[in-house]
Amino acid sequence: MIDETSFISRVTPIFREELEQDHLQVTMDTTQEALEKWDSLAHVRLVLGIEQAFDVQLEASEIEKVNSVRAFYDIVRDRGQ
Amino acid sequence: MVHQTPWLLTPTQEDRDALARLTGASGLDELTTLRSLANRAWIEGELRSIGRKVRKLLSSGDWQGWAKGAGFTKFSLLIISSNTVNHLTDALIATALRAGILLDCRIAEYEEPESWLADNELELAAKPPDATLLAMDRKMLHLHAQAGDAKGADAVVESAIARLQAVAAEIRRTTSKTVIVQTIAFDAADPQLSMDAWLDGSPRLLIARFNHELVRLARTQSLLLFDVAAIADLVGHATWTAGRYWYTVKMPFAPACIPLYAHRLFQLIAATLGKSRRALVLDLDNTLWGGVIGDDGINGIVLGAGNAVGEAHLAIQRMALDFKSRGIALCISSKNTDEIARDVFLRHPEMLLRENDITLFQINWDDKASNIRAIADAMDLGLDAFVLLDDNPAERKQVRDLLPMVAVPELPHDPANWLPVIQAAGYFEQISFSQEDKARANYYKGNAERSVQAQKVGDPQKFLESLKMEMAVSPFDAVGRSRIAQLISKSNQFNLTTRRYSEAEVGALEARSDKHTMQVRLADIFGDNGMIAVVICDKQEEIWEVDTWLMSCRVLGRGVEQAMLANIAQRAKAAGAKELRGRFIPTPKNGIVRDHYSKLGFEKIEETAAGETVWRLALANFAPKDVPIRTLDTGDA
Repeated sequence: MIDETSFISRVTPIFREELEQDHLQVTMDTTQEALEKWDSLAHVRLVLGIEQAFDVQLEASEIEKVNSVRAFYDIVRDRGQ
Repeated sequence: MVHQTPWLLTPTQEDRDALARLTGASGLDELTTLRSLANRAWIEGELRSIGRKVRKLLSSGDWQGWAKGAGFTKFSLLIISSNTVNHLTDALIATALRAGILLDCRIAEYEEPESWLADNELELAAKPPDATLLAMDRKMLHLHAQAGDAKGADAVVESAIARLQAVAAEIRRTTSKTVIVQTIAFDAADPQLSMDAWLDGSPRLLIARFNHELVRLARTQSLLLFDVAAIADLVGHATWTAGRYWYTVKMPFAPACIPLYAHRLFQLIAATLGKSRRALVLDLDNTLWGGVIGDDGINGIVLGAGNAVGEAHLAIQRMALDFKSRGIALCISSKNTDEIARDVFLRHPEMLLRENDITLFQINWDDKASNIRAIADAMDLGLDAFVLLDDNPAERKQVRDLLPMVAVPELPHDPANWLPVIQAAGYFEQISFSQEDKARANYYKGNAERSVQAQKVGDPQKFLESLKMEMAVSPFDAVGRSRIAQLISKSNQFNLTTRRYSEAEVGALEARSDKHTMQVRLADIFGDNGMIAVVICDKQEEIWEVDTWLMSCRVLGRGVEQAMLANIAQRAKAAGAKELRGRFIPTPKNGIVRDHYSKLGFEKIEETAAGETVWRLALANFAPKDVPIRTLDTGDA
């Protein structure tokens, strides 16, 4: 089971890549609302990136609802690698 | 798994590190590094990340310069889709770079392409993309019918085809460029019963009928067909289906399949740009047969029916023969003693490939890269036209390292598993298939025979006379159209301006009175060479300017250029022109025609810093050079 610190360190480069922000800092409390670049197109890319990096499959309802770093963490913690 | 592009090398940690080191600071160097790194079996997310780096580099870079100087080709693609395809952009950019294409990709996600086209007509006409991919899906085409409703099913297919035809025609009218249409994949979410094969209105039957009609439409309307249904068949519909990504964001197919989709799309596009592969180099031991001929002898190698390994190697030979029938030249490169290895082609009863099927043998103890280079030189083909099939990973690596332009597929250890990998890679894509293609492998042979004749006769002039050449010249017409377009898209070396025109644009030239067009065929005592040259001139009152002049390198050194010039000059004079103008636009590949106009007696009147030159020839005192070619001009007098 992955802890929060190592999740943040692995997920940060994905956020930076997919949102195309080289110096972005994310925390467990970062939400979609707070990040301007996290729009619907970026959302798809984020989901794809995180699915592939943590070898996890989000369900359709989760793809729709996941809107914060913590929400991603909860899914990865339970089912990811 | 075939959707993971297994013919490409698996990325290593070093590849990932090299990728991470790229800063975007040193333009062309990084682009070249990215090109070689793109050539790996990356998964979708990684491919996108490479594409993103390329896009950033290009956004600040000197596209024009890179395209000219370093062998890259600029290409702009518009994708009109009713689904979500935005996430494809970066993967497409990365995949395009694999083929040396610098892609500018624009996406229009729209439910109704007609209204999008109407809104964007002016902009499209002003800055037309090189190709438009029309990615229409079942929903947009209203491909739905009641089970058992034969009439309804027919009507639905008919109206979907009519709509697609109208949209394609509108894009063609606005852009005058290539329009790509896609077949529709079966859907794993539809009923999969046997009865669906015959039940009118079943999704499977509707899609099958639609695709059948679409192929016909594409062939008659000169649309470029991208057979997405075949890709979905290959990976399996259960893998292809977007599933949750359809219901959430309307992706047309599973993201995991994007690397394969992108790869095949750019093989098709590369073929329109003259970047298709044209020759297959085969290794011998443990590739064409099992075992080592030098050790095992002709009776010891494993080949043929009744033995699993022998059957597998036989299937590889059968595949090679099939490529040959599509005009792909087959060559042999093997570390062996020539006499011993060649004997297998002459005497082994189970061999499907015979000596005659092979354009060139390079059997010696030199390294593979040198041999492939020798083959390329002898055949007058660029290295980027070659594919090497070799069971030995060390040989593959050597060729990849030294000759990165040659395609070298990774192969499974068991030759029984080779074919699906090689076929999925789709190396030999072609956009049309003509009589010339069928016979192309023979042309190479004919060339070899002509060079024997040249040695026999000795005196080059006498040799040319002994060929008894006849050159047939006629204006562009519907019969020649697809071959003309093919030559225009493929010719890289003997090509003065390398201007590419789509088949539709070529068709439009047929009726233009302000253009003089020529399709040129050449026959000699060794046979018909087929269409070997194409010319397009802009006719102004006093001056005819040669817009396009290209020729097949097969007929170099035979006086064809001189005979063609004599014909053009005669035509221009008859039309009242006083002068011919010619232009040479340099590319990395067309160095052989740098002095073309100079050799023909033109005088240089302009030269740019980039090496582009303009030439003139006064017609009043032009005397054509006497060459032993009889010209038959069937154009209107």
